[in-house]
Amino acid sequence: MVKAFLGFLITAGTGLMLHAQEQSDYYRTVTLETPAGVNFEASGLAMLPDGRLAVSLRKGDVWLIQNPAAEPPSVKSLGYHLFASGMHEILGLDVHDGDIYVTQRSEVTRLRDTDKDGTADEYHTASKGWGVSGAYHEYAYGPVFDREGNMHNTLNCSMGKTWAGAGDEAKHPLWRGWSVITRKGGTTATGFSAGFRSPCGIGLNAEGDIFGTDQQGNWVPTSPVMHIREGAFFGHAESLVDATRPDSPVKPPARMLDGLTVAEAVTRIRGYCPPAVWLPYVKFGQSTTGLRCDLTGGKFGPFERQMFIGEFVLSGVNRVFLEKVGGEYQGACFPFVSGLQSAVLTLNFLPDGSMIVGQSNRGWNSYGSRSFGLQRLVPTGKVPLEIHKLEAIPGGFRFTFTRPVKTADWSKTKAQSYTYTLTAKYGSPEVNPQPLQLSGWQISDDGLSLTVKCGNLRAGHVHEFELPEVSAQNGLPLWHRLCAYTLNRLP
Amino acid sequence: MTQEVPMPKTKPNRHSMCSLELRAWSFLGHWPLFIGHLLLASPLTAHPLQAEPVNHAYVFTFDQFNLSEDPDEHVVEGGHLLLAELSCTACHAAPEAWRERLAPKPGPNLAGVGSRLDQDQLWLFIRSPQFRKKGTQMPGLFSGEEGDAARVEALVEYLSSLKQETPKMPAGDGAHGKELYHKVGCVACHEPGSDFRPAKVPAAMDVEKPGNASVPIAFADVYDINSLAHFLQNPLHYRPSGRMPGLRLSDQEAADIAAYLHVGRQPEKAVERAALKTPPQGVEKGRQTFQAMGCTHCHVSETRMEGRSHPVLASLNTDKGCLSASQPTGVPRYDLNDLQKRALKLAISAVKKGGPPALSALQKVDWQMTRLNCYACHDRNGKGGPEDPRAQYFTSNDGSAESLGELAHLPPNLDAAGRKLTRGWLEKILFGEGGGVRPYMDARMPDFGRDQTAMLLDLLPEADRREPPVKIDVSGLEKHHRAELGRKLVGMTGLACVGCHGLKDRKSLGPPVIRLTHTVERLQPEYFKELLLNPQATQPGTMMPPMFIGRKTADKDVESIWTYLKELEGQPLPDGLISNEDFEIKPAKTGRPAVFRSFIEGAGTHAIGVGFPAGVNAAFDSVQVRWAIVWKGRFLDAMSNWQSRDMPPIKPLGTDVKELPSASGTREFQGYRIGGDGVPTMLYTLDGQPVEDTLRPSGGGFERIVTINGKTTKEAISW
Repeated sequence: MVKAFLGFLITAGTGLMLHAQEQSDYYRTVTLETPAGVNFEASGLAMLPDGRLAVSLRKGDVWLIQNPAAEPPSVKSLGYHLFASGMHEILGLDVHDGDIYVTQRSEVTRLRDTDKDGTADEYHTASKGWGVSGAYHEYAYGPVFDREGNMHNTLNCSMGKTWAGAGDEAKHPLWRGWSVITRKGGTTATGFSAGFRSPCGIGLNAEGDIFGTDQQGNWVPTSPVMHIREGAFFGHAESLVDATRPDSPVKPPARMLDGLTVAEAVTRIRGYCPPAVWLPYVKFGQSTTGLRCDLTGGKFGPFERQMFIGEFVLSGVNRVFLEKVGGEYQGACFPFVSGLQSAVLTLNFLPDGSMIVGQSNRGWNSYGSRSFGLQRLVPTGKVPLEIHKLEAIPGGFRFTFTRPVKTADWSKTKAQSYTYTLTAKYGSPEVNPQPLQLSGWQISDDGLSLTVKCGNLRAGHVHEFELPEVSAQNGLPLWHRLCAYTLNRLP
Repeated sequence: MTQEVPMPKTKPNRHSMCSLELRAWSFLGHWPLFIGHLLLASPLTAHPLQAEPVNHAYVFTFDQFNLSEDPDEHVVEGGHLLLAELSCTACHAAPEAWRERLAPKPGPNLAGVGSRLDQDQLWLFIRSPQFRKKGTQMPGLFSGEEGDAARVEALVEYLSSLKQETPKMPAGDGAHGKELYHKVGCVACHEPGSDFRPAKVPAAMDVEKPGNASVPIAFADVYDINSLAHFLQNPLHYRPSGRMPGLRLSDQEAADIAAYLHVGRQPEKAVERAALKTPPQGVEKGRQTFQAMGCTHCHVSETRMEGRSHPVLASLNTDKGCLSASQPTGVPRYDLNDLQKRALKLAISAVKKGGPPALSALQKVDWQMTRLNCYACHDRNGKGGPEDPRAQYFTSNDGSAESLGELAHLPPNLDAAGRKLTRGWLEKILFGEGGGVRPYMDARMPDFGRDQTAMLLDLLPEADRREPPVKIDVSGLEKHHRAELGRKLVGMTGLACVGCHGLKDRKSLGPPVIRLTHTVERLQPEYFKELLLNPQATQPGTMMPPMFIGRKTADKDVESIWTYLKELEGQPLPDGLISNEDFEIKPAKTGRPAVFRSFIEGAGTHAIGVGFPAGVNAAFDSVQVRWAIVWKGRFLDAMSNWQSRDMPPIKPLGTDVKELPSASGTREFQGYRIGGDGVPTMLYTLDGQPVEDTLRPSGGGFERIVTINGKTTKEAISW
């Protein structure tokens, strides 16, 4: 089993870099010049109503960029302006009702320029109430605003040395490993959903439901994308200490068990919610970060209303398709781009339909030649042949392509299913792997969709496919052949 | 004849253990039985000495790797292990072809034993080792026959006469010893205390108990405490077999663990020894008995003595002797369980059939690692590593290593160790000094002794050879050019190795993974290249990112990095490790007040620092909602926020730090507003009333202006 796992790692690893040429065929990479002398560790990106781009930096600044899509992308043509500074490790930024909100280690701050001199003068505490023990790992992310105008943030579990100077919070930092909600009109964050380790991304899908990402480690077998809703528990046991509080919406399981598979945990751990999508380790990178739904109306390519997920180690972006089965979200992930200049921490879309990514690899390592920066991915207009959607259908799966494809030797598809173990140890290999018994490949008359029957579907397992070489009817080869569907429920 | 047994007065959870002891006693029906009272203080119920007893001669790796449902082809290997580890072959000589493989391990060195154990303890142990120390590998030799009392007494007198002064060890601190016992690696084999909670176990979870039995330490409490400390520090001196390896403890650490293990209950009195009233036998008779009973086959006491001869291994009847249901005096009694007996019978028949199958180097390494139980800590080729309930005690002393997960806690996987490490470095690790490169890990690599490990120096490289070998050019041609390229690649603007790896005395910028300082002494160049080219394939589970996959210049780059690391002395350090930048925030230079949030000493984790060009500074605690400290001179260094990963709290850089009085009333922080002059005003409510609170430099100190509900008061703060 371990051997099989390794085999995949190697092929995935070598496969990753082979697409650089194709990548630039479909998406041009534009590297934005950043102001000299500033470590431009971009951690949050959002558009202001006036067309300027607000960027938060880990060092505690907020900068505004006048013309974020300017080319050549020089400091001068982009137009940088320092708007606010002196804050404590900002790891997220959003614009809501015209105001900039940033998340610092210990609070969400709303920034306003009340005297209209171009620089923030009001640093209003919009949310606080979570514990900060001084341990390095207590990152805080967000915010996002839900349909009702409530604010949501995600908080890392605590890890590392606490500092006695934190007082009572050194003994018990509140809501660590939780997503928290600040109700509209309030300024106090309280627990909303639990069981996170390092939930570096929080965002909304096209329907306005909240999603988060997390990173492999203890209790997190590989990077997941989860549907955040009130009372959900996603598996990281250390957060349960706060589930016994009277104001906790999460009901703690009677007993947390170490070593169950995800498929077992669903039935044996009360309240455990499996993530909507798992991103298999190494094959899709090693640490998911920010997430953003493509609402460009097709300007960014054929992936409208799908989600894009930042990837730290590979300095890249993955793509996620979601559908609802039995009332719950689940879906598939696909590689998108990799090999950018540094770890992607956050991402957003500009009005021209290009994607902008904010980068910083402080504290860890990543592909690429720089430790921070901003880059844009600009569609060239050439539409790649990709698997647009992978849906679960009764008894099998349906692949939908972005362009009509020629028929291929579908029997050469490599496909397997596996699950993961939830454990206090670091991560999990793929466990209980089984080759998929595929048959009855059928391509639609228009060449856009392909269905296959699977004789051994297993709920609670990731179903991974590597298609054979496929080409579009115009000869264009399939850009990415790998995809993985998280089949929590059978349709 | 049996006698009534008085029940010992002990804590309830001790009872189960006692009843087992009683069964063992009644097996020796005709010995007069009295049990001394074990006076236990209540915290001791959680002590490692209270481990669930093992009822057979315990060989850790036998129990770990053999189950009764295993097929004969597997169990026979376990039998070979027992033949060697229980030192069967010390008495029953193995045929020449088997001799190396089944070599008995040297028994404990009894020189000076009379200084470590008192006569009653020697008497109890010799008379029935299985009773005194359940699970011991020391066989019993006395079934209670006529004359046994005199022989046991003689042995006690003889061993008691072997005196040796133990060097004086310092006084130990039991609480610290408890910490050490649970983190340096003792619990890989021995029982964890049930009152020690591993830090990693979340509050909602029970601490899981080990599934494999623990190696007994029932004697810890019987040694005098100074001897125990000296034993813990120098186990190889007392037990040259290395089965109890040295954990490289300092005098103080050994004394601390001794203080923890030596619970100090009243020494057990061998009341039955007194009741027997055996007359003194004389030391010389004891010496003869020691030889006559065959003790000398395993033990050294003074000088090596010849023992009596026994049938050779290949001639044994496997239904008799040590393997029969009970043993008369003179036949070793091990209390073997059914699986052990089956294994031994299979192994002896295999030996009778002829020479052993030739072992490859890979198998020989596995054999020695199984004998020494390297597998208690290490995983190699899918075998071994601590079971989860023991692994949870392995910890890291460096918080910033936590994100490395198991790699920060657990001893490394040894899959390709033989082609990874140089011979010189292997020697350092196995029996030398300074081989450790993971200072963040609490567990230590123990010393098993040169005799037990030297063979690995030749076997490991052969076992782990790679075909075809990786080719790397380390000739160092054009080395100045290449070393410089290597330096650039290691630096932050190159491949950013220093993002995770430190070098020399410099920490990495990120997690504290192995420093690169000794790379060329430690690693074989071929392995270095193999690892860099495909980290996951070479070292499964590593967190090293695949920096070279798809890189056209990979060969040259790897060689350049090697060259740089080889020429490290005299070369500049890579970019990123030396910070030439100045991160001090200097309000005097900009002429405007500076606001800076961080973890600030004296103001907590939600602090807001404010520095003024006039050289006075303050920090506001936004949880207590008050100005917490003021100070003079320099303001703050932003290094923690701007550069580091672990974000340490920062200290006021200036002088005259003064703590301000604590605040009263119900306060809620709301933020701050920055005036046109850059001076921040803190905004909060006090008992529901809106408050504006500003400090302005005044007369070398501050003027504090507080407006509550529109009403303003001013006060001077000077210090």
